[in-house]
Amino acid sequence: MNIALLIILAFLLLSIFLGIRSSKGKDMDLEQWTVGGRGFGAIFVFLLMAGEIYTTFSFLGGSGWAYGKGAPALYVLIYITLSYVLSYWLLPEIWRYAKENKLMSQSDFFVNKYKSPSLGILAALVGVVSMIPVIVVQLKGLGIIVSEASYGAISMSEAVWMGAISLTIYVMISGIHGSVWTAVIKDIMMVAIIGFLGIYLPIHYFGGFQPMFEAVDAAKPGFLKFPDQGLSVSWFISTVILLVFGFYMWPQVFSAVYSARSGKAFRKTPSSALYIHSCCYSSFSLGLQLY
Amino acid sequence: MKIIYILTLVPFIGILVFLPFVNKIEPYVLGMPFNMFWMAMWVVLTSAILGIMYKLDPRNREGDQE
Repeated sequence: MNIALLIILAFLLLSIFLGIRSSKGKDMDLEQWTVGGRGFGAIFVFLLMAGEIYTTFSFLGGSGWAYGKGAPALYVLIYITLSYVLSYWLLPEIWRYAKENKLMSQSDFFVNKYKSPSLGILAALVGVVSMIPVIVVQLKGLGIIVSEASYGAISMSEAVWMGAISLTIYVMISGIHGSVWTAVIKDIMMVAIIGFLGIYLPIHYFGGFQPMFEAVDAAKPGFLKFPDQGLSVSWFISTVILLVFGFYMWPQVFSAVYSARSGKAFRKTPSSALYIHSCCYSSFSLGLQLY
Repeated sequence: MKIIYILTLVPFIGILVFLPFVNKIEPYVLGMPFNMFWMAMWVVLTSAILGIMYKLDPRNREGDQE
């Protein structure tokens, strides 16, 4: 048993423990389970949203894009930033309507607001169908990370099973409280690791950011610019606008909004969230350097 | 109230409208190619703008209930 294995197991146990423990002393009715009794303060809401937004994509997909396509990968940085601006206006209204009508899920919103049960069913179906590929990609990403980090001691499918089972256990028991508390560990670790790698690797291997980018530019001219065709500037603008409009339509993000104690939280947090966001940004320079 | 509507649009204009004019590598700023620096700068600026919007918005001075 190597040290990496011990660390992975320790974090697994810690997240299961925190996940299960988080609902202790709470009356777990449906409102507690799905939306935390609408009692989360600004910090919890922030952690929960960050947990939904920064996923394995930030580690693998984001740097993969930067590695494979160069500058166009910056769209990730920008669509999240502009979505936070939108959230300032959008989320407090959704939150208020959900609270007044005691909504629990995303489809409740459409049923209530548009007085149409069939629209609610459609929203639920679209949500579930869209979630399946996301979950597959996330579990696949988890499998890659765990099997690499354990030097192959845990195979990819074992890692996926372990992750899926522990997730199911703590979500069954604690609902959204479990998601929030595991997001606490995840958010802290991610910011620390990405921040460290994004700063350390360029300095260690290239002696700084600029030498790294110059090396990339020399190895592959044009890689750091938007090309004239394909993933061009106009592609970037239209993609970002589309992604910003759809950003909060994910069922898990939409209903996470309900969990806040006040609508003020959504006007307060985006500003600080962006500071953290700029940290995650460094994972892209990391991806570029691996080129 | 009006000014925060305008502030909302500023990041969109700063990033999306200006992008065609800043899509170049030279000069490097803070070690980053210019287009990358431009975007990183706007992430920080957007954060500041959202902070200002929060301070200016009268709705945030009311109690927790709103």
